[in-house]
Amino acid sequence: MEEAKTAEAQEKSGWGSGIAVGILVGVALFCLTYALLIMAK
Amino acid sequence: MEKDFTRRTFIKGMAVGTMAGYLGAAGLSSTVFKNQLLPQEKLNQVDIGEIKALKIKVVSETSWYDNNVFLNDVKGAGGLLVNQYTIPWTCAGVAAGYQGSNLGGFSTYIEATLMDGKVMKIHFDTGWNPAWMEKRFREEGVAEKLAKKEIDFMVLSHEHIDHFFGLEATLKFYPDIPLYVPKGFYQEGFDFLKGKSFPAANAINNIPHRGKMTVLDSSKVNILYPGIALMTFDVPIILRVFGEQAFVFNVKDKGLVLVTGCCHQGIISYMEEVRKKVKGGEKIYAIEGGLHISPFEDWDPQYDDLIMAFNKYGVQKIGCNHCTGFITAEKMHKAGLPVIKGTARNMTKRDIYLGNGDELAIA
Amino acid sequence: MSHQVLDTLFLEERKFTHIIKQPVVRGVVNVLLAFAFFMALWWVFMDPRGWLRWYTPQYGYMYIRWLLIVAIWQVYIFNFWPFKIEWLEKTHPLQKGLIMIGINFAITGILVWVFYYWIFGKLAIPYFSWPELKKTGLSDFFSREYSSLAILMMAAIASWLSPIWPSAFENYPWHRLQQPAKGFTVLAVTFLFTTYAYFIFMHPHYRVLFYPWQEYTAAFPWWYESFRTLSGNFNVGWIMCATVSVWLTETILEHYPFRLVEKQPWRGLAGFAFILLLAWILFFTFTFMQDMVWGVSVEGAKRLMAPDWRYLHNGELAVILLTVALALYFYFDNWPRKFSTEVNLLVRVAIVIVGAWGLHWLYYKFSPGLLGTQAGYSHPQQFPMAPVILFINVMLYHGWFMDCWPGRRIRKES
Repeated sequence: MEEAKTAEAQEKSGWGSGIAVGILVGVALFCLTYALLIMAK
Repeated sequence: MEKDFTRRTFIKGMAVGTMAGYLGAAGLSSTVFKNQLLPQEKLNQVDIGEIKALKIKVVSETSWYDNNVFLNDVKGAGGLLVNQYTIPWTCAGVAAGYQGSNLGGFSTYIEATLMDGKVMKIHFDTGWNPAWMEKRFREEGVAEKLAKKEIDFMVLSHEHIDHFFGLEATLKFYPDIPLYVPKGFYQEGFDFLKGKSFPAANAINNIPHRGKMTVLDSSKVNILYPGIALMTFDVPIILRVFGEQAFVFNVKDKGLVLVTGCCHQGIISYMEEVRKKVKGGEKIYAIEGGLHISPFEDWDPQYDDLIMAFNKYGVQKIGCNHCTGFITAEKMHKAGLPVIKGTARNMTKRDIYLGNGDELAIA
Repeated sequence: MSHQVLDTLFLEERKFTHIIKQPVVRGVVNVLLAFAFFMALWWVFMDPRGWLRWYTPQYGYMYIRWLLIVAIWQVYIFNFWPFKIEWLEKTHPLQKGLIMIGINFAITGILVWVFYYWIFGKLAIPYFSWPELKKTGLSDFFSREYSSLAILMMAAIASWLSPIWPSAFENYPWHRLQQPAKGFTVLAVTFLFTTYAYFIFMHPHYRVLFYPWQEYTAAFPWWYESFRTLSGNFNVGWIMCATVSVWLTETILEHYPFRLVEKQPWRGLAGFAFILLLAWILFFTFTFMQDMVWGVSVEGAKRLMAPDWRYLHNGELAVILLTVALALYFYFDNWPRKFSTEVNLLVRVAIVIVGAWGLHWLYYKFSPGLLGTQAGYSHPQQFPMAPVILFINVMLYHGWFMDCWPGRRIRKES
């Protein structure tokens, strides 16, 4: 029971921090696209 | 094992986050923050100089007599994207037409008085049906000026049939006339200039052009003389044509005057380009020539966008004709635009705009 | 996974034998074959230098769009009815392809000529019929162009709405019906919505198209104030983004994330909302990208600077994106599939974005030579969606009707 809870908590923490980092990566990638467009102009 | 589990979910989360972050950033940048993120518009205006006065004469603005005959030629050939040099254009058998033909053509004669008093004489486009064009050139005194080499140069606005295929009618009088063409002419066009005919399209030219030819591109405003410039546009056009050029004159105490052949670049697009690239371009005084809106009396809601936006530019004189179309002219009159009426002579069918033989003088 | 599928298509139940074993070779061979077939069709029917030259442009473009809808009907809504699963499994893909493509062409022809030209256009709205429009005194050529435009606009909406029911709603609440009752029901429902949507999104375009304005017959284009054009191209643009979203979720995105919703109709509604959200993000992002590169569009301008062309081009860009996604899905087994769903999706999205830039470059570089079109981005009578959708049609024929033979074929379950 305890173990399951720990695992669930870890899974959640994994998800949460993953999403947070991911969003940063996604935004950074979009900035790259933006820079490409500025250069294409 | 537990660590692996966390890492696995972390990576999953990161994958979802990356997609959401990218899409979210795209969504917000293109809506909420759009105005902050778009680069500022930069004006790069050049001073083209000034002229004293300008006189524009419509030699022929009537390109084809019967719209249905013309459109059936287009339809029979396979539509608006087919190469114009391969279409068997109906010329004979239209008794009421131009010298018995469905084909007429577009040509304008321009006199621009430079500040030192010298008058530059410009032959703008050469029409389609050589017989009709020769008749009009003679009637308006253009033939005589060509023969005496009084005309300084010829400009071809673009490669289209009705502006170009009547070449022989000009070269017959003045084969070495200096010539400006826009970048985008196909090899067929250059061959036609050199005296090659395209019998499949009833395009005949037996007189090679022997004068100087200059190809102008869109990289800059091409100033020919002080106050006289040409601007080239890299536009794809129906019947497999590419590129068009049009005049910008700067008349002292009046302002900029745009003179076009067909204006496939779009008149508002043209005015916007002039605003960005020519000094004084914020205000256009007058426009003359074809505006390519409803040449076949066809329509598209986009053309109403144009008419509804036109008033904002405050143009004082609109001497349009040719491919502007009658429907457009009617709508422009209704919208209160200063479209100059003509006299409906010399086979121009209506007086709703400047017709064959009509003149616009700006001084 | 809590996700319980209510209804499955024969497409999803197919098991394959790989005739060409090496996956990349199989993919490339299939892409090349599809391209060759596309080029043959283009030359025969469309190319302005070719045989029939229907790309006038609207006339041929109309057929291309309806071929797509009819293929969706055949496979997604009717699940190959009246053909039996055993027949589909045992018949040679070439024979199957010929028959199914023949039906596809025939139904499209009947729709255009019988339904639109002779019934709907004749008895209800003339602008849907070439002969009827001509009788009003319009030129033969523009009668055909205008009516083709109306018919193809209807298809644009159908390409968004008709696959939504089988894809997002899994045919709920009719998932238990047998074919053809299920097919006719879903067809009727989606076509009803398509018709309503047409009158809201496209009919106002026709108020303005004819002279004088048809003000008693159609509403003023309600999008004019916000989007600065009277042209229905605004709606064509975002609706094409929505069509593309449907097919992205159906293929590379595997119905993620809305498949996490457990019950229908909520899953379907969530799917519909997600598709719309994705469509609008695509639409605004593409507008933004164009504004970045060419400057903000100007009201009343033409070509590159015309607001309505920019919207249309959003749709064109979206369809280019979809072409890459479908090629990945059909010919490269929706690679990768070995990671978790989330990671698979991310990799595929990245491939599709990069691939779309590549295809965009290839298209504008080589289409004049290959397709007989005119160089340049914005041509008033040229619609890159026509060739691109025709290529998509060919991929659908190949993937749906012919099991991507000769790369692979159906393995019969004994």
